[in-house]
Amino acid sequence: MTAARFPVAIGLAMVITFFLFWGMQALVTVTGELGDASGGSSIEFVRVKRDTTPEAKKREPPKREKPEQPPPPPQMNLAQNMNPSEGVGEIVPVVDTSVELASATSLGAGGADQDAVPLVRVEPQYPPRAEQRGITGWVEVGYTIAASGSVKEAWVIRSSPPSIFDRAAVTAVKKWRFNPRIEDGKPVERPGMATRVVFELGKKR
Amino acid sequence: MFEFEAYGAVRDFIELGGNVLLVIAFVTAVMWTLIIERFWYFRTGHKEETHRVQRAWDSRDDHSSWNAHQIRRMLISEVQQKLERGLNLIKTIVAVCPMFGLLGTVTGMIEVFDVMAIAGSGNARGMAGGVSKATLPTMAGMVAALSGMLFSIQLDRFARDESQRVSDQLEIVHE
Repeated sequence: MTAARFPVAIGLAMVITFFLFWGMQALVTVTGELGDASGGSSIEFVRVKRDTTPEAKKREPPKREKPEQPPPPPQMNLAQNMNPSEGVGEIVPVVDTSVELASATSLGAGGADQDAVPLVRVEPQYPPRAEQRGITGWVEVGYTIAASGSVKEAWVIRSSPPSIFDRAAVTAVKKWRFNPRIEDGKPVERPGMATRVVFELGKKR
Repeated sequence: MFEFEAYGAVRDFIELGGNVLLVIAFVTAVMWTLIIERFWYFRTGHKEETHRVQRAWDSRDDHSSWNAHQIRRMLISEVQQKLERGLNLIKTIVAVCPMFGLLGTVTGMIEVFDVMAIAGSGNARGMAGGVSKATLPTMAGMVAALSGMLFSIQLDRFARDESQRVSDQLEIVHE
């Protein structure tokens, strides 16, 4: 008895759900009459000229003696400005990433072909423990660019010192975005990319 | 033609709202299955059940002893149990639906922040996808809960009234 009730109920419920969602869809769909909705009355802005002429303020440049010699330019501390959240610690990490396209690009194939072009590079997070201990190093990361322009896989080729920066580097590389490689007018996968992510600690002062 | 158009519109809508919307659609379908099953039972199975209980009670000679009272209670609670089966589940789903909507809000916002982290806050077009994934499930969850709440209250009241009616029908003979 119950067994007979349920299949029919499921069918009916699906129909009801469908209509509920259809109703919701209709709620959020903007009908295309936004343009001529205000056809009846429109406000026109007219610029009225003022008959008074603005008073011209006379300004005299303040006289000042020329200093004998210009003061020395203030020393800028770039490292401090770049990391406002760092606090007043002794060491401020400066992460230097550079993209090197490892394999040579094949430009000779045709005019429509284009190799992957980096769009967005995300700086890796400096691992806090390495930062505390003042460890620097680099990681060579190999990766494959998908046809969509995102990084499909990323793996560590070599790193020094081993395995400290691996995760940070791979995570960062996976967030990079590229214009995908174009072959015959279609975006295709681009395997065999490699880059070296360098982790350096910049000394403050 | 209409069905096809509506189907396409709903599919686009769900695509816009992301996975959470799909979950809400599934939960809504489950909820309505339960509601329809209940209404159906009230129309058909419940009538038979009342007749069965009535017959069982009427076939007894003794309507006044302590034993008879206990059997009457048993019969009534049998009817009640069958009436209320699934009602709590319906109420739970009604309560859960808006929470699924909130889940969608949060995941959608995370997507927006992801886009902002990568493409910067100037890319409104890139953020729009995340925003629609945040807002549509919220609305869907609320609409689902609203549609279910109305009927769940109705079902609740019906179950209560019916069990009261059945207990009134099984007469006790006072001596």
